Amino acid sequence: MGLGRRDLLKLMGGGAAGLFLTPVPWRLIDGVAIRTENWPGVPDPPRGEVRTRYTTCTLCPAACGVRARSVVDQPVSLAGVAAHPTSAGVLCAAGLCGHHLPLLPSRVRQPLARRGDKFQPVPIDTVAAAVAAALEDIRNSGSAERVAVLDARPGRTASLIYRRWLGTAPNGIYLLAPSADSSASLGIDIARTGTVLSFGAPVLDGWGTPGRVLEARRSFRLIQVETRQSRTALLADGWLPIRPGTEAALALGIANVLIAEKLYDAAAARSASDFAEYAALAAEFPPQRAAELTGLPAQTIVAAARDFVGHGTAVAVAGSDPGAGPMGDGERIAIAALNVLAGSIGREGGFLPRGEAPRPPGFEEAALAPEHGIADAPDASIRVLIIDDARAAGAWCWSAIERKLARAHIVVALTGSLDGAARHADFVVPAPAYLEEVEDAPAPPDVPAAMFSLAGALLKPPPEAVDGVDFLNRMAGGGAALADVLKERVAAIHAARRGEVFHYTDGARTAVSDVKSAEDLWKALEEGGCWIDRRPAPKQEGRVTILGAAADRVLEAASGRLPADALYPLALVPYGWRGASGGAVSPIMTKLYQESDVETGGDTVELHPDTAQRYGIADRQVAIVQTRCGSCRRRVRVDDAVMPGVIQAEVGPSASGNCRPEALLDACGVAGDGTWRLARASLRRA
Amino acid sequence: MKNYRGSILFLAGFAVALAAGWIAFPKAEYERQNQPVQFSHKVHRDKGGMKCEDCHAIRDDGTFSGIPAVDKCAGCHASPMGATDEEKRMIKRYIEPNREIPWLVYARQPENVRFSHAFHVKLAKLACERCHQAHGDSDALPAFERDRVSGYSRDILGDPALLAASGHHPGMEMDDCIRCHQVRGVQDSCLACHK
Repeated sequence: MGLGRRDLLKLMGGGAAGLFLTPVPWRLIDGVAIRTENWPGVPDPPRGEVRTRYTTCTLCPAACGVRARSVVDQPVSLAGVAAHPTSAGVLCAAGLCGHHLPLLPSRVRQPLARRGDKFQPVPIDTVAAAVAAALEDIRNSGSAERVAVLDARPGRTASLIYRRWLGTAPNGIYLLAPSADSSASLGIDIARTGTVLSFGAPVLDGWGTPGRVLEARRSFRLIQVETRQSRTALLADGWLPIRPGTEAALALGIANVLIAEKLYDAAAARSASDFAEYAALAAEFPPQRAAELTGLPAQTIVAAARDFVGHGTAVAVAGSDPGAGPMGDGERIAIAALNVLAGSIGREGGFLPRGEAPRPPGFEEAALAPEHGIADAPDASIRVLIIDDARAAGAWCWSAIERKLARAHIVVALTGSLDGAARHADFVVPAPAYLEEVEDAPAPPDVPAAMFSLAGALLKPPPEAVDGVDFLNRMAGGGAALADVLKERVAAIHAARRGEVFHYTDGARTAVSDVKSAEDLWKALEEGGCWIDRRPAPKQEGRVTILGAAADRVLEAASGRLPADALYPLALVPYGWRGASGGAVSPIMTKLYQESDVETGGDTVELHPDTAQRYGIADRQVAIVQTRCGSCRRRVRVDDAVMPGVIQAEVGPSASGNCRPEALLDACGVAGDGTWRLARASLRRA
Repeated sequence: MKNYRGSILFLAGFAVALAAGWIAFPKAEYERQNQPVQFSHKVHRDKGGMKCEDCHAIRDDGTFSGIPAVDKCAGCHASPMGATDEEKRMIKRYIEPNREIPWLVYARQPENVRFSHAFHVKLAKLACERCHQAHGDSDALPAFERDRVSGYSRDILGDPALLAASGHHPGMEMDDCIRCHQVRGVQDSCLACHK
């Protein structure tokens, strides 16, 4: 009567069957799943005191207030600062995940030098000595080769230090990074704006200061001009889906209607010295011609023009796409001219002139190198290029920069992570990552008053980290640290005794004249605060020029960016997301977007079904996108929302989390004005 | 009889598994630990005249004070208050050497979760008892039960019998959070809790 093998199997079979009718397997699966979320190896912040600290976001020019929940000294979550005068308690997706950036695997932790295709660690003094030797060589040889700093975030105090240093360096030239806004002297009074006519600006998707724009959204009408059905286009009051590269044609078409129907601000027009020349140019683009170029019906253009000026103060804004880079000068001028016609410059609800935070002695404008776009630098002229803070710059087409480099050149990238332009550098210097250094943030471009915020350091940088000013000092053998210059600037703000300080901790405001000392002001700003200047009074500018010497560029841009090409019949349109294109991104950002957004990515292109059918390509197949400048492989997504004849190519992280858009951007090619927004392309199945 | 032998064995195994799964496993799943100090909320409230907020307050900045540090206890218990052995033991072990009491926190969240008492109590206006039952009435702390596999506390209070009366069984798992959020119609996106 013993148990045989078969008996044992039957007993075990019964046991196994019974077990599945108990909680055991399900509880074990559940428990193991939970255990894997917390087992050793998963990074955990230390247990300890939970504190709330405050700083300012410096990931983009919006300078939003940040409330950081920290365990001991480690920030574990970021949120906006309620009642912040510009960000209004809002942080964008990139800002919410900013505390992950110092932890990214691509973090640079020591100085690197290029050896062939790879980087090898070198002492920081080796990097400084190599650059100093090149500078000495230029100085001694009397060469016309240039020394340049490419600044991804202009307007900071560090930017002033760069410009002062370039003012004394041999042939120094200060360059604004592509898609970086200059330290603009006009801010938009969007809280009082009646209509926003946006040419590609992602107004409702992270443009300007997101919190301020979203707060004002209830009060302004939004007309979005964009080839792509972006999120802003979907949420706008009106969407004008134009053919790629026809923004200037539409702007002149609208100007034509405004002038013909006398809907423009006559006083503002009289203040423009070249209004007659501009009106003559606009006359070449009646609605019918603009319609032929843009693909919109003529009556739609007429209606858009009337809509533009029919709801209070109207502003027209041109967008720099985070993936596709800046618009050309021709487009920018054609769009900006609409603001003159609408009379929105110097008017409440329009563009208001603003000053900037007082500067410390020695930083007067005359002592500084002027700001230039990359296109302003002659080709093959730059011997030494220092790139500061590639993290904030969005995607760059490296060929736009490469063509400016001399044959023998040194490129130094100061960066927290080995991404974007840093991968092309000869030397990589490990800069402090976000939240690791005390720095300042100037007024966001869309704010009509001068501002100055300090971003206090919430984390200690690694010992090898070197900020840009420190790097200059190492080359020069000494100089004031950034923190010291920042203190001087805060002292200058205190001495001016104007404006007020907003305290992040309690939302209180204190007049600067009531702050006892510069040290007290520094402390208030460093603990979480921003200085806000008095709101400027609306003031009409004196004489202005609309076209200046750029009439030819405007006409060229308006005549169409994409000439017909039988070999490359499609239009390649790159686009990106703010905070997710070109730079380091936190993987958790994928949780902030819809699944359909995550499905597309840096390794996909989107096509209209008719286009896909014409080229025999099905959804999810891999295709080769070919242009005259290069090619790239991308997976195809077929989408009705894409305009026929257009290839939409996203510049951003792929599903794998990588963000290597170089092949796509290089395939777009760089136009003469330094832009890469469009290209003629063909397509074939891989 | 021979024909039924296999079926009987199968059913025997089946029955043993059912018994093990439904009776033995739930007992074995959790390890029970007593708290380091037998604390009576009732005594502190009734005799000490204390309020919940004296020890478990939401600070002005929105953070929750949680369980007080030993300094707070020492404010009253610098010398024994009463003659119980538990009192003497607590003073000798923790108060005199100024050593933190290693409380076993029923509701301690894992590091990948952010839970804000301020949101739940001040904004959603949930009573503390909604999740923690009438903890303030208890005369002794229930044993802390830790899931041997997941490492989580069994319940955010500890005694499921007490919680059954509420018709809802708030536990430590994500499903418990989501269930309540869905019932109340509030946001339950990933980043609401996983920052």
